[in-house]
Amino acid sequence: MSKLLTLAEMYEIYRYLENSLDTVRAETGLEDFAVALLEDLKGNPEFYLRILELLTGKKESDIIKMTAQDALLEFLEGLQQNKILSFHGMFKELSKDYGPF
Amino acid sequence: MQAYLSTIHAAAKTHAPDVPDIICQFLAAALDSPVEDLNKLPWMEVMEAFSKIQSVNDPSWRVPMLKNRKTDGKRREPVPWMYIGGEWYYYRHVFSSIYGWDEDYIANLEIEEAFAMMQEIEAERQLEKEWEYLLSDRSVEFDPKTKTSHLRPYARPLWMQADIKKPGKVRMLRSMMPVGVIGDPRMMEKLEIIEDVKTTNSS
Repeated sequence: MSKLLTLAEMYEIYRYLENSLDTVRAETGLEDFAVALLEDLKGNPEFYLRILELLTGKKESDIIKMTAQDALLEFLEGLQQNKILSFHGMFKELSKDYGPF
Repeated sequence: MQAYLSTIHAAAKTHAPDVPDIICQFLAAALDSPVEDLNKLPWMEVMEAFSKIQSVNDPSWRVPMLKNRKTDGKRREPVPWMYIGGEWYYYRHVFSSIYGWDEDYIANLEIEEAFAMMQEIEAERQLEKEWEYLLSDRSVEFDPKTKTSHLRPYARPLWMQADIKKPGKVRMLRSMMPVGVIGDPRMMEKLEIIEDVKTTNSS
């Protein structure tokens, strides 16, 4: 069971995955999206590890002992539960131009 | 609060690492609760509170000056001398120079009231400029062809202009209508299809 992330934790994950999220469209299923994310994370295993740490709340040593399938399931479930796509949309909105006049 | 919002938007634009901290500081100031407590909450709750506080304090739906600010579809570039938190000093300067209010009084104004007063100030300034412009030579344009002069009005900001209404239905006398049978192209297509069906059935 994944935990609900705080704003700081979610923002950290968002900064790792930002480029991949930009390519995701609303109609893309979460599984396709996760496959694309994993493809992007291939060159950065430390990011994958850190994201799993944040999503599961487990220590690095415990995550390394997990099977690849379990890790992937936790990854998917964590992203879904924490509504990563909503966060992405909201953050895009927040970074738009703004001013009183 | 305005300074916090400007900082949040500037930081979000550059994807600065301190965005969550500034959002929590904004909420802490608005809710009068410690930042440490807000840092522990799930992000959805924090952002929901942020969004609600922003909308509650947004007077743009009530004051025409703010409501009509983007209707021309043009992107407003910030002026080169603007800086983070500059809006607050602008309001302070305007209110203190016009009404002589001190900093505390301006800071404690209701947002709706402050923007309504600001609109009155801006409208008065605009009307003064229009009057001065009317007295100058530039307000009149001479047309050498017709040898007459035309008034060139001073441009008004969008929020001071009347709303453009949709054109209403114009009733036309039957005697003014074109003579003959008017064919509707959509109906013609349908008729052609019916004709085609008839010919294929008969053959």
